[in-house]
Amino acid sequence: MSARMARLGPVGRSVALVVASILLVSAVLTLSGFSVLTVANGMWQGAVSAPGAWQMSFRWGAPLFLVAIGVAIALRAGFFNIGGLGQFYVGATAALFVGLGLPGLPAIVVLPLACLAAMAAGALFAFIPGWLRVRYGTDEVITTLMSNFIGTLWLQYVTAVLLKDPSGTGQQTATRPVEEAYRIANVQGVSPVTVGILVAAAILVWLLLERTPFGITSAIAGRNPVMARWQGLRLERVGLLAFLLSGALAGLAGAIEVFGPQGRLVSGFSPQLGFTAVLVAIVGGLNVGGIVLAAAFFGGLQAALLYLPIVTPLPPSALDLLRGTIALLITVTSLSALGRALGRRRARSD
Amino acid sequence: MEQLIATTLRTSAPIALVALGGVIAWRAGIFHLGLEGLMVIGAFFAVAGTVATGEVLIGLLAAIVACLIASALFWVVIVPMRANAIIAGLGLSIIGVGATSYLLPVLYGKRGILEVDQGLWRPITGVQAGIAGALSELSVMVWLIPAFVLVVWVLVRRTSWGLRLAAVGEHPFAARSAGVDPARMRLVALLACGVLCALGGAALSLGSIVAFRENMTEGRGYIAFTAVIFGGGGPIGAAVASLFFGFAEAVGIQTQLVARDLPVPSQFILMLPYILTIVAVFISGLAAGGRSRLPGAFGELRDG
Amino acid sequence: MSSTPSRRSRRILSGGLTAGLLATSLVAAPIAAQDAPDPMTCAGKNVAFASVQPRGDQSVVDGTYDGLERTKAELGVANTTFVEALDPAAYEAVLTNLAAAGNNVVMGNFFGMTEPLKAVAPQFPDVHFVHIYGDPTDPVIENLRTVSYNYYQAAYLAGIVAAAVSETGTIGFEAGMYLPGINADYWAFKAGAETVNPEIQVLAGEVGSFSDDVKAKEVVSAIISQGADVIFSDGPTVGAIDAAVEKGAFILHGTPSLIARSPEIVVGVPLVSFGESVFDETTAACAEDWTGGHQASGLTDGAIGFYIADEFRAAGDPAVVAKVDGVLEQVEAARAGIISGELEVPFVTDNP
Repeated sequence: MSARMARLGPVGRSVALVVASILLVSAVLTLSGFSVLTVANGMWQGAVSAPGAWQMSFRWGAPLFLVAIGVAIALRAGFFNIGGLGQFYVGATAALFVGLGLPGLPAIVVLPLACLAAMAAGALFAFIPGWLRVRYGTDEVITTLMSNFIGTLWLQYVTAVLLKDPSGTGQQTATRPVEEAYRIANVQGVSPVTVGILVAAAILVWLLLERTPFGITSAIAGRNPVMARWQGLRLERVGLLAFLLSGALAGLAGAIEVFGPQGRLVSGFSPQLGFTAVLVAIVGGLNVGGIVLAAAFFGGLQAALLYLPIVTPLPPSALDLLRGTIALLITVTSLSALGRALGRRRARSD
Repeated sequence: MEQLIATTLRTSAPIALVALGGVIAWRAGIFHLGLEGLMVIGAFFAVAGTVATGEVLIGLLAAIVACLIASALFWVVIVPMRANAIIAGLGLSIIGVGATSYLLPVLYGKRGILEVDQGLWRPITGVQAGIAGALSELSVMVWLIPAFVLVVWVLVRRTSWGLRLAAVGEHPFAARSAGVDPARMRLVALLACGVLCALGGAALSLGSIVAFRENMTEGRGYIAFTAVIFGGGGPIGAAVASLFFGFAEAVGIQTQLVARDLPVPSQFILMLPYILTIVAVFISGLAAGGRSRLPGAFGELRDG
Repeated sequence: MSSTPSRRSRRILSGGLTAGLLATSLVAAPIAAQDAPDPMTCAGKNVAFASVQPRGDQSVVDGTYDGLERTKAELGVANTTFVEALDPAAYEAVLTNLAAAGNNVVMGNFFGMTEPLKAVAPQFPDVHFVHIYGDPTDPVIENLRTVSYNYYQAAYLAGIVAAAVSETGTIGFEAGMYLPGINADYWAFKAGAETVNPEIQVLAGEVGSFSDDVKAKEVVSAIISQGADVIFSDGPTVGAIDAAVEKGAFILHGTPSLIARSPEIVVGVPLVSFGESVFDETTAACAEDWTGGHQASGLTDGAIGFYIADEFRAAGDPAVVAKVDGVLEQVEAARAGIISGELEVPFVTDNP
């Protein structure tokens, strides 16, 4: 890492690169005739200042946060779990099975059961690529990527066939809704229960990563597997546990969607969640604190995206440009190397 | 049967071209998840160039130039600026899909689709029936695949450039001490990869439906990336893997039609290619000895 | 003010029905239940539309957008906002944003919007909500009007023509996905075809997407190579047309702007014209005495139509045109039967 980038520190670096991405995309928007000021103002309103806006930012940030800390746990142990979306969907469907399958029981029984079922399902879905990776060396980037497609089709099957809402003419591809009594939040997603779950998850994961043997072992394993093996660490077990936790957190995010803002499941919801969560984990520097901030930022971006059409007829793909540019640049660690490369070229041509 | 062959070939050709590009990047130690983005950029500019000039060849050229520029930018980000290649590659893919969707309304004032009145040249003409009839639907790009495979194979296996490339991918430190500049090798590799992605995208937009559609690659670039690994990182393996994916899609389609009373929900049939991919990657991982991490797999480029 | 429905009928019918058929349809077109309001009441109002599918389909969504834009020019609507709400998790948020932003009329489309509209409408009693292509709510919500379209009835009429044109005795159905609404079209298409040829085979193929034209081309090619010579497209249309042209099959699709791509093979156009609906519903919703409730749109009021394109008559093989003309009487009898209620088209949502 270059000295100048290092001086910024990890937080400063993330902020600087996100700002750089925003400036780049702003330039593109200006060139194609949109007013950046109007867009920025609309985004600020949509994410923060309009009535109900910050609640919306929270609503979109919450699942991002849970999936992203899962991604971070796996990444710290040296594994790239990009299957968050599939694990999230499988978790959500498991939660819904419990929510619809135990009618009449009190919420205090059903909700914990549903959350456990969701976490177990997410973990199980992550177990397969995890086990193949640690035991047989099967590349997890591909297996988790593929598992997203499988999870998406599974969700489609559940919503269009298994738990389909038969009301009306039966043409919806949505499931029956859970009972009102089980809802932990309305569409705005902010409630004492959801905030409580997020805070608890944040504290537990922080303790796990910073204060337990697992956290220390996985950090060593992630940074230097050879060294870890020499020290007699059981990498298989640590790796598999990281995968399971990662999947469980994504599954929990699915349960919150079901009992929180959505109250039911619809085919193909939040399709960008998995990829955005990877970004959130990396922008947040794989730290719980950083991920909180990054999830708030990307949650706000999502809320702003939904509000923006009210202010300006910007094509929705403009926000993809921003997300893509942040992804392209966020892991940049060295600017001086670029300078050196250019300098060398100059020197050579002299 | 004829249709099975035609669908297999037409579906696998764009994937194979992009996968061949992925192979070159792979051998330079780059885990290239930006293939999807390059492919969609190629598909868009092939149509845009053809629409603007009325010449398919100029369309191909436009696609190549656009992908070369995008690949050079990608190189700047992951090599001199040392970004993580996986994350930056995913970013390139999102930008590619987003930018082409963004350009449609900005340049043409329309959404969704850009039609063009001519596609790639088709070598077989004038037959309708049987196998020849099915093959007559295939564009020249499909017929050229063996030649591309041969060229890339010779390049990476039979030239000193290929040796140096492999050295950069596997032992960058040793390569550097032998006087090879890894950064420069990677630039050339990414540019070559960009050309092949441009052709792959064009094979899709000018060789299949003869139009550009928003997000028309629909994940085919990721499938190509999978074919690279499935095929063990070599050009022949990647081409065979691409053929397999095309075949799996063709069989999936035929199964729907022939085995109509199959008591399996359609979603599970659509899952098959993805499950097969996991199985295939598992097997090829075992065959390659497993256990060890693939080169560049964590996205950190090693340059010694 | 009967000008609205008759304009709509004209558009549907301008596709080239003969004068006699025109008369039949006009007779059989009783007008929508409510009185058309004074168009001036829309002046200065704001209208928003949240679409769950993106623009650029050359078809239903683009038509919806055009209908919305037309309210500005013809009704004096001050501002129109068209939002692509592509994430089902965000439907409620989008509707809430639109209602809170001072829109007088907020519309949404397709079945995914059912629950979100039910949840949001009661929170904004002063906003008039319209659900284009949705089921009635029970109980009725005062400020939510639902409009359903019986597209499957058009598919039934298409089935009659398909069976008449088919030489092989096998016809095909391209489904974007096997969703309940699409499945209903399949069964109606099949039922219509069976009235002409009880032995007819209908091959259905699923693309797995409503936007992947490249794969759609392969699916439709496979259906044709299995012997089907007439295809009903209920999925990505460009790919389906391409396959039909290449393989020499005929096609029925509901995208008028794509007819010119291959006029000689489009033996019929099963059409749903949301643009007209959006325009009419906006007109209605601007009125003070507007109320919620349900409207079943269909063949009756011309929101759903089926016609033979002029382009096909001009460019098609005369022998095939003659075959189509040969069953037109039967098509019109079925149309009249459906409208009068004597003929009930089966409504089945199971997978093919």
